[in-house]
Amino acid sequence: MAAVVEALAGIGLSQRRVEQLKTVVAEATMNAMEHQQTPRGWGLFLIKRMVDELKITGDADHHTVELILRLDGQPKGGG
Amino acid sequence: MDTPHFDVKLRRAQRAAILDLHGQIDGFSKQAMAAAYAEAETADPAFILLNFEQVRYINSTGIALIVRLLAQAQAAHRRIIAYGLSDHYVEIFEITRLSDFVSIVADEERAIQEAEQRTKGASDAARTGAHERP
Repeated sequence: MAAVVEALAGIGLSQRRVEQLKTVVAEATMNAMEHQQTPRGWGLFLIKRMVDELKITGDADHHTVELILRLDGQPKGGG
Repeated sequence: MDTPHFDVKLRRAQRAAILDLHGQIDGFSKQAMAAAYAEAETADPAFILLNFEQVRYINSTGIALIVRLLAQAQAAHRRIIAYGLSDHYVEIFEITRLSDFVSIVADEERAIQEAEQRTKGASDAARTGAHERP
């Protein structure tokens, strides 16, 4: 997750948004690493609640997960 | 590099069992978590206190483990009180609705207070005719 934090440096995301993004990136990649699958179950539920938009595309051999957070948006989950 | 991935230690305090959780809670924590919870139950505590102060990461599989533990506790009429969660994980407990069933407080002192208040509330209820365990 250090790479995520490094990639986000300087774009002005709040700490809360950074923590949310770290979680959703971890969830999005975990299933891919362990089961060669896109997110599902609790992981998918968390992702949907923490990003502004989620796009999953792909074919039999590849999956692409796009996690979209709007810089001018309010954090998901209220507050 | 030999730091344990996850570790849990059991303490007891009056009517509570305290599980001190360390490290990451994910799929690899399953056995240790289940064993610690089973050991905690042997003294039939009314409260299970989960100490998250030393937990640095919880993923969705870890959330599922906590949900399972919560189900076990509820089946035995035990109350779970969590403390030491970061703001981020409090938010995750709220998103997943775990916070509807787990009391979340800041630290161990408040967790003990919460347990005492619930015990007192149950005693008062018993005196007035209700028969509910805290």
